[in-house]
Amino acid sequence: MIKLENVSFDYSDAEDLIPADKVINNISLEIEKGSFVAILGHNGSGKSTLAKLFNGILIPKSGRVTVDGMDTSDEDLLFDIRRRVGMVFQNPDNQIVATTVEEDVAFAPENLGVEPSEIRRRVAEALETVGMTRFRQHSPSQLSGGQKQRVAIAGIIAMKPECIIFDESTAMLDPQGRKEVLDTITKLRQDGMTVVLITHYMNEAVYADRVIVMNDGNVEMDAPPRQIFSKVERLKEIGLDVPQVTELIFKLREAGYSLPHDLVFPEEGAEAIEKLILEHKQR
Amino acid sequence: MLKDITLGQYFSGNSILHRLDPRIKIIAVLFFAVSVFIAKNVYSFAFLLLSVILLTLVSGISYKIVLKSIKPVLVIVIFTAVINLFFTKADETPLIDWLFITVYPRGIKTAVFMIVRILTLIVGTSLILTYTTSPIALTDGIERLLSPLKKIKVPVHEFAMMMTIALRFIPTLLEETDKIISAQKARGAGFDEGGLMKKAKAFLPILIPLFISAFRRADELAVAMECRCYRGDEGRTRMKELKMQGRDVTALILAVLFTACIIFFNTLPTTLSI
Repeated sequence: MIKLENVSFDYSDAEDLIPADKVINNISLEIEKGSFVAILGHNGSGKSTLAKLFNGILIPKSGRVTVDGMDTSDEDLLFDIRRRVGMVFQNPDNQIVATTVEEDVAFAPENLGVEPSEIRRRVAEALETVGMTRFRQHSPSQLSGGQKQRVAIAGIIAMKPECIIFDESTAMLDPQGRKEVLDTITKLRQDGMTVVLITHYMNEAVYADRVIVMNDGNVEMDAPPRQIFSKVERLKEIGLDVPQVTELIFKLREAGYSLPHDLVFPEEGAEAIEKLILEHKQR
Repeated sequence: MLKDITLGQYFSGNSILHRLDPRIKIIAVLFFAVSVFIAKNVYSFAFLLLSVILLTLVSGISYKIVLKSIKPVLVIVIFTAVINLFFTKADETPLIDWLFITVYPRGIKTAVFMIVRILTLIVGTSLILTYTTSPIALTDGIERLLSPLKKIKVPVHEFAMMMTIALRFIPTLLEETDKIISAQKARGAGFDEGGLMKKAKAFLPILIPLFISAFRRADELAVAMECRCYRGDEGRTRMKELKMQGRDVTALILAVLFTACIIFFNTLPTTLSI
């Protein structure tokens, strides 16, 4: 549903004499409807810039970004593009507009001109999805980081988008808050939402069906998580970690143990190692 | 340190005053203020006092809180009373005529009436508006009341949105100020020493980071609002519609009647008037 064709971007102004370094360098890719894509990259790799190109917050300097066939460089289409592609940012505090949870979730449908009774229905539904119904009347300042971020997500869900981009939405949260947000994402996935997750936490990316690794404005890798994380050395070269399990298995393999190379979940890692130990015992 | 600052002075409750449409309350306050200023004899002032007491009872707010609201204006009240007491001149025999101090009966009257006038104004308007209306309802009410001005291109919606965002970010920025103060203290800054100038200067290292952060927040919030399809007032609906109900109409009629009563009482003959 989101399609990038030879997109380049830099942060220079028209009057700048020296052209700025390209933050996004001639990227073409497509995010398919219903998919769960994780975008990984170290700081400054261009992953957040890429996300901001997806719903027209940034407009490419060259190339074309289209959402359901609508070009983001056409200002008249931005409204329709943004109602399809919602975005959740890093700092929950800076996304909440209203003084109560309920009013804030209603903000997007209000902007869309939805009927009041329908707004109420959507607000109730969105708060239910993120599990914040109990806090309807609370002021945002009474909530924890994870709760605030869930309110921000509800604010996007109430818009009924087809795709939600999470731009490092877990980066400022404590482990508890991160878990709350990830559980919400899992729930959205079950409802068939297209999700783009931008993160530098590897263990969040393993749940995606596709991982795009960004490096210096280029797409370094684009494959399912198992394939990506089996390239441990290359990932480390470009300043990324691998999930702890993958790292452990990688080290064991280096030490000569025969284990599969594409394990990303702790459970399957444990199983594989258990199997190996049993085999050794039998021998 | 800064957490205990309450803004807007709103006391939540469920009285009839709390439930009235904010628009009606704003209009009622205008009627009330006009009445306070046109009151001029003992009957109308007595009526004012009585209605304020009645309002207190109806609002369900403790009289202690109401009395507290008088505190900040006490100096003004006393000052006005004293000025009126000693500087009112009249063609009658003074009650006291000692050295340069002369007090006429008329001066005493004026002083008492002025005290009642200021106190009823403060207590009455707080009871009708600020104590019983949440800031957000108030903003909403102002926006709808002023919405006819949109026709002559007054950005009413934008002002209301700014108010809402300001209200939303007060706790966030207070929290942030606390953090900055702690951070500066941890690095040895003293905020409680020295003279006034030194203290004022000590606050500069708090203000600068606070401003920078506020601008950054504003920037991010603007992008987040655009992402949620915000484009000003255009085609926007509201979840909570303000609907006039029977009680609102009654309140409006009462407000008009109130002013009419004051005008009527003003015409009653009495020597106790100003």
